[in-house]
Amino acid sequence: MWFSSGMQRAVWAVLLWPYLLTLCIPLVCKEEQGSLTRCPSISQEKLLDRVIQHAELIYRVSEESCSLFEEMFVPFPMRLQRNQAGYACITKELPIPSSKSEIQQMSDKWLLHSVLMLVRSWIEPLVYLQTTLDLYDDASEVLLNKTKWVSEKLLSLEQGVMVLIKKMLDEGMLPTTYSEQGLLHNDGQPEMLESVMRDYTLLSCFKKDAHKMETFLKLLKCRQTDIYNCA
Amino acid sequence: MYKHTYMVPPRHPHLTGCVSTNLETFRCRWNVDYFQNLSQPGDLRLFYINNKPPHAPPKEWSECPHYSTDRPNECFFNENHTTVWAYYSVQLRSKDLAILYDENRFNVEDIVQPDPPVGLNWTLLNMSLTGAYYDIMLSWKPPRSADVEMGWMTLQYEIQYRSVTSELWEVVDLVKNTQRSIYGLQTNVNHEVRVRCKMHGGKEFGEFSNSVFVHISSKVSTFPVVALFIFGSLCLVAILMLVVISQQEKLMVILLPPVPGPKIRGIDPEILKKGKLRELTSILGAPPELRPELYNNDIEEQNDTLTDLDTDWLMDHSLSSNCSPLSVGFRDDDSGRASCCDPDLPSELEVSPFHPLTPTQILSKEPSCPAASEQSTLVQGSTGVEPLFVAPSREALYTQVSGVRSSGNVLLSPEVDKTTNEDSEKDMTEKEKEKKAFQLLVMNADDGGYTSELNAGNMSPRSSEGDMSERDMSDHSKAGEDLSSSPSPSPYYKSDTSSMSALAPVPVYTMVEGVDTQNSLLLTPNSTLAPQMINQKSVPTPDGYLAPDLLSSVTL
Repeated sequence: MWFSSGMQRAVWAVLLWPYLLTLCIPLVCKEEQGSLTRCPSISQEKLLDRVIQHAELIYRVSEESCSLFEEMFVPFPMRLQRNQAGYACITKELPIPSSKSEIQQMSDKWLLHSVLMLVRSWIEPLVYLQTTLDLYDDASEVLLNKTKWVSEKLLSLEQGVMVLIKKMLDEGMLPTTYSEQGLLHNDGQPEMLESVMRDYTLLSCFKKDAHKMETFLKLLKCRQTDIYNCA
Repeated sequence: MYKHTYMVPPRHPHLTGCVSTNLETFRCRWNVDYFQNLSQPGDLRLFYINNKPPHAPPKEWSECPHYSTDRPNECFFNENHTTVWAYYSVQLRSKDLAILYDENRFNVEDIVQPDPPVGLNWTLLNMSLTGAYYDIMLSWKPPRSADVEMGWMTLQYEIQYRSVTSELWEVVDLVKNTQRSIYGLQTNVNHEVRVRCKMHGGKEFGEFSNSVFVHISSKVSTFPVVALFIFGSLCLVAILMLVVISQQEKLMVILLPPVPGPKIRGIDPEILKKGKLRELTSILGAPPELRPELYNNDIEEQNDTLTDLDTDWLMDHSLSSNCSPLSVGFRDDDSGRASCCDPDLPSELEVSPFHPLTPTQILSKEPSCPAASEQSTLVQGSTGVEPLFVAPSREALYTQVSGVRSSGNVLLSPEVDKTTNEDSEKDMTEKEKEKKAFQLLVMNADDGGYTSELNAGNMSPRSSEGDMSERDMSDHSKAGEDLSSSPSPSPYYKSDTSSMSALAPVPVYTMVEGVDTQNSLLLTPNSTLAPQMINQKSVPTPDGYLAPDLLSSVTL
């Protein structure tokens, strides 16, 4: 297992390096009234590409984190039992379509707003996840780093999507609202297996939603280019 | 896709897996194995539920929307029944729902295995100069079922290739594009290429595409190249040989510098040969004052004249010419003389009223030697002679006492005592032909001193009386004071000297019994001692032999 996490780290580093170049430049320039822009403005296409890259990376890293966590902490018979009652995904309540046909019928606006909603709803739970992972005795460095990285990138993804909304939809900057995620905060000391299953569910739900975000954004891109017959 | 794994072949029907190829639909398959009576459609039923816990009451479970008609034991979920990011539970039950054979839980996006890519073909990029290798560019198209254009699915492709003779597939890293180049394929070899894909971020690959065969034949003429290489290397070797041969001497000096032979000042090189270690250690084990030349740090250039020693017999050559046993006794094969009887000492012998001593006289041999009787008297009446040690090797440090002066100095034959001290000393070269005589240790008449072979060969540069030969060379005698300071009154002989020489001949030393009133040494007639001396090796006998390390303890 140690070996595999080392391999994971190596693979992660190898896979990430092309993306790191793109991520060095800040995704979004803060444009405040009366202040100089800190960076040159970016074209809409480039911004969308950048946002999609972010989403792809986030999905891949979340998938890796989920596998790592599953390997390390989840006993084999329990691996099928995620999303059971009580451990439903937190974003279940959000009105997001789940089939391709439904999604194809969504407007650009809807797509973007859904993405933004998803991103925002995950910012706080990921922070919470980091703190709980730190409590694990033998959580590997790799896993901790990955979750940390993801939660940072999620913030920049939020920024990017907000700018995109502003550019594409010509809407004003939406105020940052965070939905209450009270159900995540547990008082008292849950037992080990319970907390493991809870975190496992959290990770797998996040993975799913990251995939959703990526898919929505790609759909959006397809529509922008309009070369293919994107429905 | 989660499969239940079994250790033994399952006896009852089980789900073999649920697979989606396009993230829009999926299908679940099961296996009946030995239960052939259940192979009728309808015997087994599939129920599913999504986004709800699997423990929900059976009412909420839905049955398979479509049992496949084209193949048995399969259930197909079309787009309407597929929710992508939902959590599915699937159960395989008997007809009457009583028996639950198997169940499975998954997310649709996790069970994606795309169809194989289509349209795989290759084009030649370039060929190598020799025509042995070439590069190709592969291209393909994504599977039709996967909606890549819309961005619904993002695929990654993996290429594998091998030469048809080999069992091992070479795997190329994942690419997102639909083309990839392969470098370094060999001509005249048939290669097989195939490609498969998986969803970006997905776990499992789909099936491989059909293989494509790549073959390029070329007439690779290897002859000129090989011949060229051989010719070039031969030329190089020839040039190298020429250089080596022409510079042979210089190279030999550089590569194999001459190694000097073993040489320790004051020690017979014979000892340094194999098998004579005991003599060497006994010599080296002597107290420093006995062998100052060994420990003397002043390395004189004339040390090299040591090599002359083998020619410097301490023999009395005049005697040797007269008395064969004597010569035999002193014979050393390394002497460098043509024959043992060659006079190799300067003819300017001090012919004095003293006659050279013959060891044969001592040994009671060859009484025919002239002046033997006189010598014997001389011996008796002389201030003392020491037993002679003949070192028959080049490091010979002994000579025969030719006479004793009234002053107490011992004259060693055949050398001229005073005059030759420095001159012959200086003249000495490393050539073995040089024949010199050494003036050996001078016995102090006062003492019943002795000399050891070490002392005899002593080369301390101490100046002393004129009769003493002050040699800076290791083979030269020591000052008389040394001798006087030598503790032991009793002489000894180094039996190993005889053994060193490895000569049969009788050693020319004897034992000093005492000193008479006139300070002359009383020597024991040694007929009995001779055999002992011959036979003895390095083991000293208690009587008459004093080991060097015991010398210091002996008091006069």
